[in-house]
Amino acid sequence: MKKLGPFRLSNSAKIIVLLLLAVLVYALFFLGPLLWMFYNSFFRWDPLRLVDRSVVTMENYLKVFTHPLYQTGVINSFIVSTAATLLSLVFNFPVAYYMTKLKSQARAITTMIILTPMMTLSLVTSYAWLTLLTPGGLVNQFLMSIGIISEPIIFWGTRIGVILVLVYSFSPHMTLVLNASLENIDPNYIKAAQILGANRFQTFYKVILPMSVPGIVAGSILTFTMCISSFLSPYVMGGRVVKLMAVQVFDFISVQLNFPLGSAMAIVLLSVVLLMVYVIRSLAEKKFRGGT
Amino acid sequence: MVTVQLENIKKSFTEPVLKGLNLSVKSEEFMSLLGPSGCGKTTTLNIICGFLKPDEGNVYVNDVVVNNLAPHKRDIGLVFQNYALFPHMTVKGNLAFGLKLRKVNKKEIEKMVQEAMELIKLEGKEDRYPRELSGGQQQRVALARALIVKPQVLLLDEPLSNLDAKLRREMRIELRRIHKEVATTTIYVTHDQVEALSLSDRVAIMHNGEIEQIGSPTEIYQRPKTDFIADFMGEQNIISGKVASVAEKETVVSVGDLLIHIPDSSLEKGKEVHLAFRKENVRVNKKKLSNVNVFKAQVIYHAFVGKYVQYLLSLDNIRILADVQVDFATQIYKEGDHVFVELRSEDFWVLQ
Ligand SMILES: Nc1ncnc2c1ncn2[C@@H]1O[C@H](COP(=O)(O)OP(=O)(O)OP(=O)(O)O)[C@@H](O)[C@H]1O
Ligand SMILES: [Mg+2]
Repeated sequence: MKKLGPFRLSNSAKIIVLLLLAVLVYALFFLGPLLWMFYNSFFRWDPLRLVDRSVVTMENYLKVFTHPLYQTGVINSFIVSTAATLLSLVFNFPVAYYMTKLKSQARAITTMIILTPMMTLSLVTSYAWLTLLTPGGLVNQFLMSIGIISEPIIFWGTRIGVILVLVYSFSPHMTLVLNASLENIDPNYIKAAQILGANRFQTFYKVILPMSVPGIVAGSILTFTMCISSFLSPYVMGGRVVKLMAVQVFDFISVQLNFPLGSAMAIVLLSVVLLMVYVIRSLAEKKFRGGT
Repeated sequence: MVTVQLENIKKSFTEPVLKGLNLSVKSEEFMSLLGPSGCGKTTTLNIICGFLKPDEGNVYVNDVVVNNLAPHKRDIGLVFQNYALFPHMTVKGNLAFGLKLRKVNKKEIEKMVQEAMELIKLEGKEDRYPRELSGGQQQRVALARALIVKPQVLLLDEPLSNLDAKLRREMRIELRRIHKEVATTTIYVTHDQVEALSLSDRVAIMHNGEIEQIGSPTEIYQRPKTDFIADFMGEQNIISGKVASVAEKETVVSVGDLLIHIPDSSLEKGKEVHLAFRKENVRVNKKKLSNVNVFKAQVIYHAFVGKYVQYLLSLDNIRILADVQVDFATQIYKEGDHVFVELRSEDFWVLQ
């Protein structure tokens, strides 16, 4: 047996030390700032010292929940992100589903196309969308020419515009997560359903959809989180007209240097995300106990 | 009456897999489709189910061509090698799946599920999820799910290959019992000859994209028609010779210097033939006890394996295998011993 000196560690001890290090790094860089933010959110803003730590107060949180401007921010963020997530799910589920049926080459090309929103600078694509979505832009011209609308839709500075740009920005994530989950469904389940008498629609509704619930949950949580914390594209499309938490947090912290209020709002944003994660998961569990 | 008929089925992927397959399965029959891995058994089942379209040929179910019928309209039961029980449904949910689609009313479903659970002897486990069952139990649920809708025909694709040897033996007995009880026409796909022989009314051997032989288990085992089947059904002795003389009830085939008498009389003189005989039919004696089909031989190798002794013998230049039953009174010959090998003329058959 090897002798263990003071700096000689057995293999399992080494692993434990390495794990502890990893946890420490994680805590330092992730939890650290979060706790710091949480801590600061209970103090008052001071024009000179920025954070006045002489009094502990709840007034920042009170402001977020009572001031009409910030109330609207919370509500808008929630509505816009939920709508964008649902739309993204509805649009991307069929895409992800048909991707599973493609042969490898066609699939590689489709994947490249789907990934484009991720590969371009979001600032640039947001401005591109802005020009497409102006009252005289291509989208409005097209919609009016086929007669769906008679008046141009205003996208800039509206929730619809923000929702559209969010759906576009985070579609790749949704598609890829859904596709991974659909790829994992053994084709024998589909054959089993068909031979038991299920037509295409029944097979989809009773087998494919419930079996892809884990993917739907993961994709929705991911998309919702990214939507609600996304700042640049919503700002380009919504300006400061559409009040959104992420934009307001940016304003508090980077423009007004009001760390306490910004922190409080960021904590509220995080709580909304956690609440949503909980809601989505329990909905999925209730509907499809058993999962996959 | 014929339930399933395949008529000249052809199917190619990158290479031809089925090359004009013909098969007809009688109603209530248990038919095995036996063949080596990759010979197209699953492809055949997929064509019967309608998951694949044949390039040529017709599929009949109860004398109706079903080539253009979608799988969900074919009324076929299918059991997969990996069971494919829906993981998001309980056992009951899985069993009720096909019934709900057929709009059976709730009460009736309840009753049928109960009956099915009794049939597979899993009463009380209705509310379990598939992952909470053992492999053998999942297998039985899969079988019940296929049978509960009372399909015209039941197809099983190597359903036992994921089970261990002991469970496989038990499930063979179960399958037989259940088939007796429900009497559904069954096509059972396997590459395991023991399974095919012990379960089936008839066995169809697949080779080279066709059915090479079809017959009762005893026929297939005792009289395999071709070299391939003889080999596939276990080690056999196959020797080649030339027809030396043909008489009314007896043909003589010369194999080197040996003259073998066989009862076949359909051969032509001078024709090259392959003769087969089973190793357990070879008798090995110290003395020459008869004049016909008795040959001098020498033991090259012997192995005692309990119930019998395995010999490798040389007759002139030919080597043959013999499995000889032994008890405490039987003499066991050793390497180098000179012996006489004796066979009955009925023990030989001619391969095509
Ligand atoms: N979708 C497909 N595309 C291309 N080739 C295929 C396809 N399906 C099957 N094959 C080929 O057809 C042949 C027969 O396949 P099949 O699955 O029917 O064999 P099998 O007899 O069921 O074998 P096993 O006992 O291993 O299950 C194989 O050589 C296989 O590679
Ligand atoms: Mg197969």
